Amino acid sequence: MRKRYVICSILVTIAIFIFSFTNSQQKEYVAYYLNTVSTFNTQQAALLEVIIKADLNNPTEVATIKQELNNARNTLKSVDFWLRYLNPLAYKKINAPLPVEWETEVFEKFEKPYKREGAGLTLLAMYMEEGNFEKDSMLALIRASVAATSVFTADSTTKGLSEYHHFFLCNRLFLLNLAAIYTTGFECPDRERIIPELKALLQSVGNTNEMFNKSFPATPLPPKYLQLYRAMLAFVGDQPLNYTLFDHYTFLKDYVNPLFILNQALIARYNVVSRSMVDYTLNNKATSIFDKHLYNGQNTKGIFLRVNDTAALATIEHIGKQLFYDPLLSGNNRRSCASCHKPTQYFTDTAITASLHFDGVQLLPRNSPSLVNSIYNHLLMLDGKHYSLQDQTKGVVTNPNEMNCTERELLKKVMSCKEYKKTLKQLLTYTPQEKEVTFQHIASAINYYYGQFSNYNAPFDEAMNKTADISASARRGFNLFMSKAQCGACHFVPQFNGVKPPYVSSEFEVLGVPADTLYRNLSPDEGRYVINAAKETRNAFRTGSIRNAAHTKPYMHNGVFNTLEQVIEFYNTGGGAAHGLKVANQTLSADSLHLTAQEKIDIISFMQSLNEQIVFDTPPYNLPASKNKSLNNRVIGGSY
Amino acid sequence: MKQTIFLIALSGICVSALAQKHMKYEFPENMPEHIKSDYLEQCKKGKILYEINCAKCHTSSVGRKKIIPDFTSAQLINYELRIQNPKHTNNITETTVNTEELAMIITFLTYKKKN
Repeated sequence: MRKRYVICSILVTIAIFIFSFTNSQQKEYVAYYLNTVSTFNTQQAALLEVIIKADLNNPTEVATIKQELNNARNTLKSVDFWLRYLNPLAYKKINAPLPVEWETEVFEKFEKPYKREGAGLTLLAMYMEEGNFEKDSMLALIRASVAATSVFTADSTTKGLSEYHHFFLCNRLFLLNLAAIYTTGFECPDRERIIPELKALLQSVGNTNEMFNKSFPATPLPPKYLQLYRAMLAFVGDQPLNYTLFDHYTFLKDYVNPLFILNQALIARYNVVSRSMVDYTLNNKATSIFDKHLYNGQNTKGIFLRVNDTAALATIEHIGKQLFYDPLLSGNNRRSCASCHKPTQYFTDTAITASLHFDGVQLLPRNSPSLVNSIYNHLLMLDGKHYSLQDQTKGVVTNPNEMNCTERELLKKVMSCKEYKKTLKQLLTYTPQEKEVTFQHIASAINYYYGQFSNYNAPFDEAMNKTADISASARRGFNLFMSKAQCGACHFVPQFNGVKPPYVSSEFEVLGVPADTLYRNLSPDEGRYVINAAKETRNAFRTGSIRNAAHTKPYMHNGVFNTLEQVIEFYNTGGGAAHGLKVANQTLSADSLHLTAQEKIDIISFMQSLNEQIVFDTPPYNLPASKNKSLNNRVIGGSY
Repeated sequence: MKQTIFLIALSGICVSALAQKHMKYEFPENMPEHIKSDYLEQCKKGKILYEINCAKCHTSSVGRKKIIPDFTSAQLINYELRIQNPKHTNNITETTVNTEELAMIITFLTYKKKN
């Protein structure tokens, strides 16, 4: 009996010991975090001090400010890993690349964008690069940053740090940003600082990794991860400091993506759970940054969301295809989805600058976009008008200039066809919340049909996943894309569209696209302004993907350019503003990129490596017969 | 006699079934009628989606009565942002309940009569 007591008390003592030990270890990690944040704050205070005292007309004193700013930016890199994840809103006061941005706080599907005045170290760096000094505004930028930093020492922010979960989620965001923005100068206006800052960042995250492993021995980063991380440090250490000479391709393929793959495996192995909106769209099951399911963009199944039965999905796809080609969807029964989104031409129309108006004579103001990969946007249409594919479908079908039908009329015509009616009624069992067939069922079937064509990979994806290789010219092109040519700072890895990590919102840009190739006038299309009127949104358009660009001419919102060469030249010169057009709010730099002829060829080779190996299918042989005989001579795919 | 008992029993079953199916809602008094009917429509769909996706874990039984819990508005906001319940990280994702459907469920839970 006594023996049992002794054993029990020993066990309890051990348990208490272990518990207090792990607890103190985790405290060490939190203390390390707080200490690093405090160093950052001290550095910001020093920067403020220098600005207050400085005589801005004295070049030596300006140089001192620059030095202090660089120090502050370097210390920011030692906390960046956590701050960006823990509170993205406060982080944007410390480090944001634009003076004014229209954004949503959480996820753009929930709320209208609001105006955010930029602040912090990136803007100060930008103003200093431009030689734009004004003491009050410089102080205001840094004071806002200091105020935002205090959020990161609050208990509400730090409480998650004593559990291991946050680490792997912070790390995921960190790796995605390494892939998409840290090497492009997205947040670093001084080009010469990009690689030095990257080095500082990698070094301090290396320290954080070690501290984490010491404090959380039950859920460590395995030796394989640490080894690869060290190899990455060595690789970057040997790289030139000029970001144009930096080997972005190897960095991403051999280090960043493999580390991401390992981290995803750890998220699964340690059952990591998120309590942060940052992870809203990220998919825990994605096996690579170049996995098309890295993040959830649009739900292509629509109302049939929970259907997983393959037979039912095949039925939905079949009927979706027929509906896609069926001119019943238009007011005059002569136009179908396929009229403007030609399935053999990457679901766009490559023969015409913009598609035909419903009247068959005029042209619409905008080029019809390829539907391939449209599902990786949260906002649809070039002005971001719609939140879901189903709403977008409704928008086009009911637009008097496009298909000119009404929801009711369409439903009536579709249900007049026995085959449609029977299938749609059968599918009702999967949508118990709807008692009758609705427009949503029809739109969802269409979306599911064409959504399938967004699942294909391009040679570049295969190269990144190490199953194939691309040409030396394409590799050079990617390196230019991410550096000198400045493409990667808006067309983000991996979809090369305007959705950047953590992939919850889209970017809109003002490029100054002309109405014609002679640059006589700016395109009159106001773009985003129509949806969200503001000085900054006039003529702004949602950044499109460059995947399959070689097959989806013509280019820009109005289809003004017919070749990739013209597009590259447009950017190389510096957009509309550089061509003498008055674009007060152009977000593209009006400076020339100074690309050489060979560099342009290389960039186009890279773009060609993003041509996806899509297997297109042929039109349906027939369309369902309607009770209304006059509808039965309609043309498959529409007549114009 | 047998028939009467049968009828009474049948009507009893019907009434109880109706009582279970008939959910009561509480909308703000000054809400215009047409908006109220829109919301009611959303609530009805939200209830069905709740039964499919949430009820298994969240609805409790007291005797024969099923009780759908009363969530606070703070909880509902966090459910909508998908940060309320860590178990949902893998179980309830965009691919099982999408943003639009989640909004209907939240609407239902917001306006259903409190227990």
